[in-house]
Amino acid sequence: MENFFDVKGSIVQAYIVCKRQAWLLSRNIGPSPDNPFLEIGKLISQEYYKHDKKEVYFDGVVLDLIRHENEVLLVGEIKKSSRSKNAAMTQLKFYLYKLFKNNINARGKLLIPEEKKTFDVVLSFDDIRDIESLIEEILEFLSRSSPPEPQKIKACSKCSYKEFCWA
Amino acid sequence: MKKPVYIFSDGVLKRKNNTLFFESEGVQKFIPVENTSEIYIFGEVDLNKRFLEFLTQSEIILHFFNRYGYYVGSFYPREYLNSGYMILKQAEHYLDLQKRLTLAKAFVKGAYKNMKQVLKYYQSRGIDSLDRYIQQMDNQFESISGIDSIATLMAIEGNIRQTYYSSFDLIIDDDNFKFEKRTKRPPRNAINTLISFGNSMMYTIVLSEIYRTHLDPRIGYLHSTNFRRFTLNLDVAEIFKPIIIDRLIFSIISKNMLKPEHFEEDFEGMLLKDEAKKMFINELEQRLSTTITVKNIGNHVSYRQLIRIELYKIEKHLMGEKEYDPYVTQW
Repeated sequence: MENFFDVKGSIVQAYIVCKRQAWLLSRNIGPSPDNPFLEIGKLISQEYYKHDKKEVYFDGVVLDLIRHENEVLLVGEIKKSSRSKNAAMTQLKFYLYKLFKNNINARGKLLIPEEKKTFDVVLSFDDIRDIESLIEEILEFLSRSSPPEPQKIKACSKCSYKEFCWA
Repeated sequence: MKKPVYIFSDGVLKRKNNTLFFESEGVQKFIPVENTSEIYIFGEVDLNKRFLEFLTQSEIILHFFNRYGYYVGSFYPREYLNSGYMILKQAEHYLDLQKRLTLAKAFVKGAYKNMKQVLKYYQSRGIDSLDRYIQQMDNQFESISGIDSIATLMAIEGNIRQTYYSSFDLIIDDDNFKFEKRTKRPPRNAINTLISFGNSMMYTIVLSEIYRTHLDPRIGYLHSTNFRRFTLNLDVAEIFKPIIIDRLIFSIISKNMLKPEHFEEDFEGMLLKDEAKKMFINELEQRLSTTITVKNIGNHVSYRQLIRIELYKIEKHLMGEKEYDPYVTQW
């Protein structure tokens, strides 16, 4: 299948939480810019970890943070809360996969500064297989000509697409 | 919540450190960039490229008005919510006449329904003779379904609006504010001046909201696109002008907030003095922040958000998700 769409970290993350959001993101239909939760998220990633290298562009994705720890590259993903922890872990594994494909060995760390929590993430051989099939699945899904209809889920309450979806 | 900033004095606007700064006759004022959604300039203001670059980075639109209160133009910073997909959909619905007519008719329908709601509101407050005008508007609107040209549609919209305007003297009932007939460029009396000023404000408010969506303001459907000026904001403003601007004008006149001294006659027509513009904008801001309940989205949606929601509805129509049905007020 021809790749019309760039699978980005945000799309992987969205795909797990809300497929509709992933579809919209693939068409560059971004969220409402003035959603307060979005602004809080932006502030959190600005204000914490000022000593680290942040927003590093690599092979079509943007890594929130990188740092060297014990001679190994550490990739950090900063989140506001642990609400969608699983999706964030997969997003991080997707980044590790991208690095692995470029022969860079790295570890991942999910950072939730406001909750004073961190979670270590490593990429196993099983993960590589899972990520590859997930990317295939996402590409197939994105090629649909219209997004799935909105569905009220838990994530809707603070979602920056709320007004768009329910307008 | 970000808010618009209005500048009436003369002075210099610049970037200072990482925020906005206004200097005027010895008065210096910081304008917090994080809290500013857009800037309206009514005075004589100097600014430089560094300032415009900062506005682009901060995603803030600048709207200019001349000393007569007429809209001059906007500094519309580089789009930051680009979606090639949405632009193509917008163009597709413009180039296909049937699709364009569907949207153009929806705007006319929304405008007509809201004009009618305004008249019905005053009818319920005892002005019985408005019924005649409502009847006439209904008749004029009926012919819309068979129409297959934008020009004819525009003409019908014009006729409906004319009928609607001709009822204004019944609603206002104040000798200082006789409407008589609609005059533009220049408006010839106080009430026409208020309508022109209010409509210009409405156009820029919708434009500011369009900037925060994926839509391109240059592709309108009822108002012809000529690829140079903004037209989509004119289309969407039609729906909100009666319920926001006209109702506001009736309300400030009935509360005696305007005096003949607020106007001055000039070879350019009738002008609104700064003091009255400030009062008008104040009332307008209050109205825009009033919250109402909207189906599906729930409580506490302000009129300003309602305009954004209307734009999202248009996006969903363009995507083929949901047919656009214009907002009609339910007072």
